[in-house]
Amino acid sequence: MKAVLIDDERLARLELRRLLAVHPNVEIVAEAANAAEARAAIRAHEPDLLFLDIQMPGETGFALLESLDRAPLVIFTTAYDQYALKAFEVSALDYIVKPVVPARLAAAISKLPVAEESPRKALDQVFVRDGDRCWFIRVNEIALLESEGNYTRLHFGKERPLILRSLAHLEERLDPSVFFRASRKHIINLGWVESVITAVNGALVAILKGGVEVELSRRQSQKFRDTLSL
Amino acid sequence: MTRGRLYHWLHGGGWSAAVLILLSIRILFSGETPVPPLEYLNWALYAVSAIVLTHQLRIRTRHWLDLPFSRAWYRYLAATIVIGFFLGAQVVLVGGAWRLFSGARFPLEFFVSAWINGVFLTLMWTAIYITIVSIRRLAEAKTRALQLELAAKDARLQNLQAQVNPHFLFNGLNTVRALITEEPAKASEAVTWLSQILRYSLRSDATPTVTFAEELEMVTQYLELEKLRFEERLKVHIEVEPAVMEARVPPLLLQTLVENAIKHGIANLPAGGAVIVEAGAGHNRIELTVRNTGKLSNPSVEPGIGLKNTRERLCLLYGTAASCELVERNGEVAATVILPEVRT
Repeated sequence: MKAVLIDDERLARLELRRLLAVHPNVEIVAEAANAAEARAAIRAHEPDLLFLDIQMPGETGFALLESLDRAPLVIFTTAYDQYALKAFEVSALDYIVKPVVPARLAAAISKLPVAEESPRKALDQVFVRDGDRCWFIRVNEIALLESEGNYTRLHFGKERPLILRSLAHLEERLDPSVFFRASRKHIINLGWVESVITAVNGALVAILKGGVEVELSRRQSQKFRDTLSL
Repeated sequence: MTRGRLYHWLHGGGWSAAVLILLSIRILFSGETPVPPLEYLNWALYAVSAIVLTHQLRIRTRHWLDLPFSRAWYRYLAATIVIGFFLGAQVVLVGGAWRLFSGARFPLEFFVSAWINGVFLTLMWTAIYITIVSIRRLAEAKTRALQLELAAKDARLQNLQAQVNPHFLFNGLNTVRALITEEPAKASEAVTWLSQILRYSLRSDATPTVTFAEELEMVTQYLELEKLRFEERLKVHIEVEPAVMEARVPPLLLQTLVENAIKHGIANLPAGGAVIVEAGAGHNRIELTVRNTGKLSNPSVEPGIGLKNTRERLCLLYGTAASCELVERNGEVAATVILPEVRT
């Protein structure tokens, strides 16, 4: 499994590298001292796993993750920091504290999902933050994306986080065979559509699992019929 | 029940009861029977006047409540006597006029007692009113004192927590662990620094002031440790006039400023920067300045706990003679503390 170490302190990276030496399944392909370096390393190496410090100069670790189209697996590392710890508390993300206890590191690594080839391809997750709370979300678990001005509200499970991305921007990054632009305001996950009914005005209404109804615009209704009918 | 409604019930109910009692006494014990019907009207008028006048007294003399007792008592007494006389006079005038025209008996003792009753009842009202207000104010003052004490305790606790900054401690320990394999000699030195810093922090709340030399030694060790962490990202310059060395300063004062410069300045800069510590003396004052590369974060954000604590401590120790300012100029943030010079 390819990993990138991200920490602004060289000695902290050195220490982590030493501790990871006993884990042959984790191969360190790059190190980064800040978010910009990390982005370049992630682009160049497409790692499966990040060891990520939260407190970094310039951009924090959370901001780095938010900026990525797809998030790899992440093990957060942090020294005692009440604000960072709070973010973990509310979001139930896994983290290890520095100085790292070797047994705790081994446990965190063993908890990672192991895929046949590259877990990154199988995972296809994004990192989303709304206020104090953050989540890793499997893209195919997002049932609906709803535009609210420059923001977009995601519907997944019981959560409805609002993220600072326009719907158009998100549409470009989503698989068009899974996500369908229903109208100016909505993108729906076709995997979550339970049934489709025709409204009085001839437009289609998609009923999603969980009961949310999304009206398709006239034009998109036609497109929906064309592309999805037998 | 709200305070205002309670007052109105007591005020209106009290006066009505008092007048009813007076009326009963009048009916039972004066020889004049039956009581002339118009006299009931006189009593009702009496109650209304009393309620209105004492209520006015309450509204118009609220500021008297804040006066010391020595300056308040004669005002209340005078106002009370005036109102009491007016009430008595009203009874006499209304009752007297009616009796004059109807040719009824004119019982002198009844009118004299009306005057005495008027003054006496108004005095009672004022006494009860002031007693209730005073009790309430006393209770409020007690609550305020408790809150103040709680806030002070809170501040002390936060101060204690800030003294041994866990973030710094764990980062320091992590650095030392990495150094153990890379540079064992440095690691050993770092452990010494770390233990000195801890000892100084833990002991610092026992003494209100230390010499600047002691504080500076601790700050130097702290900066050495941070240099291990930040490596080439942290440059340090220290310039201290020898005259300052023996001056007395609150423990951890300079330390707090330097820690802030690292935490809010250097740690946020990918390329790092410099921390400059300067100390000088003159005009019976000491001036300590800690400058760092960087910008002030959003000025609308309230100052961090470190700066707030520093200001509170300075205020407690020196009153208005000391000051603590944080400004940004020429790409630098400068924290300046001015203290009165105290020597051992």
